[in-house]
Amino acid sequence: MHLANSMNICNCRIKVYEKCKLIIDDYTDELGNYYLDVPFGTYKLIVSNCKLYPKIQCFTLLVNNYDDKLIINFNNRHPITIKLVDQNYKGLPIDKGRMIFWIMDK
Amino acid sequence: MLPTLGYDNTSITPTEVEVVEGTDEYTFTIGATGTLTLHVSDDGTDIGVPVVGATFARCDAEGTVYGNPITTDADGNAVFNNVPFSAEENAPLIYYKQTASDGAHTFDNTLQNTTLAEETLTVEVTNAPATVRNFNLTDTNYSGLPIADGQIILS
Repeated sequence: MHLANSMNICNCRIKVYEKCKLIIDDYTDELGNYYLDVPFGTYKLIVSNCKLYPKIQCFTLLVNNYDDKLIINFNNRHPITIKLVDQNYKGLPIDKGRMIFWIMDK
Repeated sequence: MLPTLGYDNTSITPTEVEVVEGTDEYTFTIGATGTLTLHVSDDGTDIGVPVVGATFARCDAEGTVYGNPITTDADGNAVFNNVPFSAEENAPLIYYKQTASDGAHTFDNTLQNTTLAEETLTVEVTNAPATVRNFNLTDTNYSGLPIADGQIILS
């Protein structure tokens, strides 16, 4: 079973439970993938520590011979407000300012 | 950061932020290096009689005041430092307004704006001499009898 996340976030914690028993506690690889090798059946999947919203996601995972991939989606649309103001006239807003943001890996 | 017209893009601060849960507003500042001089005289020319003590404030497009006011010196000059300038079309507008003169001159207190195509600019401002007005204090009961040494305070 191939687990992938929509943001390709590595080092997301993956916990898999079979009937309330933790059977896997691991992390996604550098591409945000995790390959789950378990017998057919129903499992509980918890994805956490991805530094994205939502912070924890829970799934009921059905492993069968039809579906071999699950994409976990993150809502990366939490809004923030960016203000650009003049350095020498406190609070004076800047017209026509443009900014580009890069995500830095830590 | 892409060029912000008229500003020094190397001055932006901070250069990086960590977006954390619970904090939804992030402020950056950026500076400029232009100089706008307002020269105030009684006729609005560079050879007019300078008006000393006229005050101005930097504003936004709505007239809200930002920063400290500036005041004309003995030469009639008041200086806004660190204003944006650009030779390109759509250079930022710099808004300002006069808030006072020296008491002997009139002034326009409406919001003004200009742009700097070069790093320095001088704008001539007219503060015409105020109209002389005479106040007469006379005796109520003796029509026209002037009152000597009377004082009138106008506020």
